[in-house]
Amino acid sequence: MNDLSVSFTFRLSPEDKNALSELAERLGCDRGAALRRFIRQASRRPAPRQAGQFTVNGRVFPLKLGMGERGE
Amino acid sequence: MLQRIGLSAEGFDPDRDRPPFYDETTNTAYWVGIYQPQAEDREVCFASILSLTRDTESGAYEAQLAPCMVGDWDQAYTASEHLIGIAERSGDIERVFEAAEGMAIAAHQREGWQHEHGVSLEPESAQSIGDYAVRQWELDL
Repeated sequence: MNDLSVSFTFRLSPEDKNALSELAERLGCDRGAALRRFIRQASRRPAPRQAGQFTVNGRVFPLKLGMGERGE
Repeated sequence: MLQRIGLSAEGFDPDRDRPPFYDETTNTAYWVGIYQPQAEDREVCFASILSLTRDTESGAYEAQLAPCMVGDWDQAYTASEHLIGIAERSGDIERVFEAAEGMAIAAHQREGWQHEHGVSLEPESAQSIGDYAVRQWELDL
């Protein structure tokens, strides 16, 4: 069951609908986009060997994370 | 500081080039900023602490990144400002890390930290940041 074309239907309580609408309004997008953004952010964690950049005071440092070995 | 005493240096911008927090007892520099796995993606940004020190035996720079919370750019920026405020008020990096860890636990980022202060950076990344820090601020790491 890995069909990415499948669409989902689910019920939201009136409170959840209101909360999602308020969230979407605050983010300046529609409710679907707000949900997608939430899902993307919730599942993200920096991965080993991932490149990226670190911004501080307008200065950008390119960087790459290490292998992910635990050292505590 | 230079501007405050009436001096200026070519290419020096005090807003862009504020020095990091520096702990003299451990010779470690700390920056609070925003990590982006993908530079163009402003919806996935991590308020983070970058720490930099030097291995006393090998002399190699060692850097760790502690992602604290994830959100869009504005949310990550607000969280970073909160941490910077704690650093400025307390002058104690441990207080900053206490708040940062709380954020990381709430945002399910803490379990990704491999070390006390986050995730290790690749040696080349640590080296280039270390070179910049020493050149720019003459830090004694």
